[in-house]
Amino acid sequence: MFAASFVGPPPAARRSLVAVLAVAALAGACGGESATVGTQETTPPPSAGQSASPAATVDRTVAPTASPGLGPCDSGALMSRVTRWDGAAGSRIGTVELVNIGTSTCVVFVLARPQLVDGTGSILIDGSQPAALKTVEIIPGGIVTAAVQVSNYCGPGPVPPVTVAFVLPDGLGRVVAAPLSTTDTGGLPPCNGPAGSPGTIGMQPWAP
Amino acid sequence: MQWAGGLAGDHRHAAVGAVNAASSRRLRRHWRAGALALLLAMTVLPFGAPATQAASTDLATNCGVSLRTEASTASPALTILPTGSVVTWTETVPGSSWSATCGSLVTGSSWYAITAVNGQSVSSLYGAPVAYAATGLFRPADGTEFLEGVDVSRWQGPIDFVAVRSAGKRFVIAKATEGIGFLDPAYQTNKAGAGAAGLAVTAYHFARPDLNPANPQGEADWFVDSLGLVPGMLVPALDLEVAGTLGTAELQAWVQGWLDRVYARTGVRAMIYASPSFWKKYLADTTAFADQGYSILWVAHWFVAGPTVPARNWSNRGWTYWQYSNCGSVPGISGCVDLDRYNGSDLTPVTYGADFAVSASPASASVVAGAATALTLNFARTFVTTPIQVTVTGLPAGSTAALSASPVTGSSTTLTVATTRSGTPTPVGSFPLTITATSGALTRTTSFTLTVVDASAPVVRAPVYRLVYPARLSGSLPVRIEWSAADPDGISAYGVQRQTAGGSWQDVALPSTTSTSLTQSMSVGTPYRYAARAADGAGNLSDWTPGSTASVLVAEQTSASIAYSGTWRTATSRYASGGSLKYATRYGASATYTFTGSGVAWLAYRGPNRGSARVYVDGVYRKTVNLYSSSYVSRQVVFAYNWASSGAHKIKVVALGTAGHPRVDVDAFLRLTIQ
Repeated sequence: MFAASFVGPPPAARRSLVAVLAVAALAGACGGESATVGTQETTPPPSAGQSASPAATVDRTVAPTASPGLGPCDSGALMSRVTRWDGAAGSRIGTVELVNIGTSTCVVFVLARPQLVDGTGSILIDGSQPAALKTVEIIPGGIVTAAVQVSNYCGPGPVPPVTVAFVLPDGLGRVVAAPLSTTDTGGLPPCNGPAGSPGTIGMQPWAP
Repeated sequence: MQWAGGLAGDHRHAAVGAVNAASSRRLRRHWRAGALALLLAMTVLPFGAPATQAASTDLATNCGVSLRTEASTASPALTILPTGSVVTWTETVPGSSWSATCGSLVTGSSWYAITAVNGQSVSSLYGAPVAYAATGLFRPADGTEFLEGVDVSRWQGPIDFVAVRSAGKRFVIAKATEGIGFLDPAYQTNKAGAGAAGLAVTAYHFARPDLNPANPQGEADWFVDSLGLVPGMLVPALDLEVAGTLGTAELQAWVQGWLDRVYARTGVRAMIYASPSFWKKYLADTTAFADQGYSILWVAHWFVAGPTVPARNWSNRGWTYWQYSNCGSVPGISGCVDLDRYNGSDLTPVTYGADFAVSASPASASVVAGAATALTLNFARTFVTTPIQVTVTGLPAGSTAALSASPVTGSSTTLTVATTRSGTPTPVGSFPLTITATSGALTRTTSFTLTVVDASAPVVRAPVYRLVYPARLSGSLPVRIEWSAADPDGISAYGVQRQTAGGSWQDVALPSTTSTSLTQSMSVGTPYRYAARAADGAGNLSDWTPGSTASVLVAEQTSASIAYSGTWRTATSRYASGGSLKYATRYGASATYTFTGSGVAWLAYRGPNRGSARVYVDGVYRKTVNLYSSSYVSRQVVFAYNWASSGAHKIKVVALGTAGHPRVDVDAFLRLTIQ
């Protein structure tokens, strides 16, 4: 369950993110909206003893950047977890955290391709790759949060737990969020359509 | 807000547009997904020809429809009109061929020239005076059977509800609470924003029997405490899609507990949200709730042309709301939003606190019998927009009530109560009328007191005259005079006068003040005229109403107007009229008198040797007259017949040859003339 996979990103993809980050750094230098590193209050990452949830599994697909503090987040420095599922008239809305457990500030694209996955790693509902290129910085210990909505799962019964994963844009890897518990299926939406009808999954941007 | 993800194939995207084979496949997938996607292809024909049809009524989109700059699928799409958008069109024009799946496959090459969308001009929206859309994708906006809406939660983020309303949506169902303690952070904003934009709004509670299996009341309390239910909101909902570990009976009891609690606290029977599969699997397809009066079902069933309605079609009530898509695209809302449909064109029946009052102005009125009075019925509507039916009871006899508009769609109507003095006259008195107004399940009443007064004199029917029998002619003949009058207040007294031979009018004594007939002697050949008047219970006295001038004339048996058949003999008698008479003894002998008048009588002898004769009037048998008498009596009126007016008639006497006393006399015929 949630076995980590380590797949290096394609060089071209990595160059793409680095280019975006360079632009972001330039904007910050010109008085833009990027966070001021070092003055922002940080939140320490949850320790294993403090968290009731299983430890997040990160597909280690993003290599460390040569530009500490502004590079893409090292997948090894990212931890994700589902903190809540709530319902909404046929849908399930998950609140998911992404934590920088590394020692350097890094950035991630605000959107990823969301997936609903089960305990075997099977993809229950697959989202689409976003086109947006905006990024968000995460300082060490910082947390960004996003909401994920899923609806209409009409497939066979999944193996608990049910959680979400994020395929990062430009082939930068995949992060699987730790579920609420080892048996949690609260994120599994009902099937409100005919057998075989497609499910839907979407996410809102990662935000501090 | 940015949005990522979605159904494989991204069905949030457009509905109408030119597509290639690959995108056709994608859109067909959209249709399977219930997105009412359209396929438009693709042969461009000449366009710009004269209009083929003039605009008549506004139209509403049946599905997502591309609004284009030209009547061609090759032209740019200005926007995609969501389902339910109302457009104003001026003409249809020919253009490129199109085909689309909009509920069913439709094809054509005509296009609507559209000048306004949802009440806003195309020029203000898109900077062009006219835009075009394929016909066949619309229905008449009038008589809309459904209202479109959305359900929202925190997921949608900030919503531009004005844009939602402008897109034709009419209602919003916002998530309020979940379990105990969770309040959707967007609820209050969504509720206020939707209401401010003119959208009907309500809320739902996401049930968590898995978390609170023994405390549905706690969840209900949390919902009611958070809901902020006020009149004008739609009936709130219980969202059932989680069963936890509860069995069927336990879950039914849980639902019952929640509904009972909300009803106890608000007086509202909440609507129930469920998918047909959930209801059948976890609640055993029970009809218990529908049968208790929880009549509003919000059924979730996606990607289907019409929903499956559980609980035996919700105990034959059908669905009230249908959540038909989990991923619609609506202006003002980023990303996917659930699309819902209300089964009707008026939300009044599902509006909390919907009420109305009816009042009458004035609350009472007096009317002279025979006249009419009008009053205004005012309807104070509180979230009631349905037509109101009005009935009036307690009307007195002979009166009628009419409404200027029924059913009433506005805030007032005029009620006219008319009385009558003819036929069945409306009686005088005070009558409390009950005005009952009904709209859906709401019935309200008011009262109006109608006082009928009598300020008019009775309507008198002029005296008429009738020959009577038996009687005896002795220079004069008894004639019955009849009169009458009508009045809502009743007749208290009559008066009768007689004029003889054009002389002065003389009062006639009546048997009683309310007598309506009198028998008086009229001398043969003398003209008489009678007049009557009447007084009603209110003391109103009519004028004298004279009848015709009447005379009794004698046609002796020798008159040329009498034709005899068979053997008739002449006998002289000083007791006979004119000193003589004719008689027959043989069967079949007849005498026929032809005359003009309003009455006729046969004058004959009665005696021991007289027998029977048949009498025919205008060829119709009327009576067999037996002239037998133990003693002889002369100048007897043995038969008479009268008409309402003067005319030409015949009377025929046919002897029957009665055995032993066969004689039948014709002493004379009498007639009554009027002028």
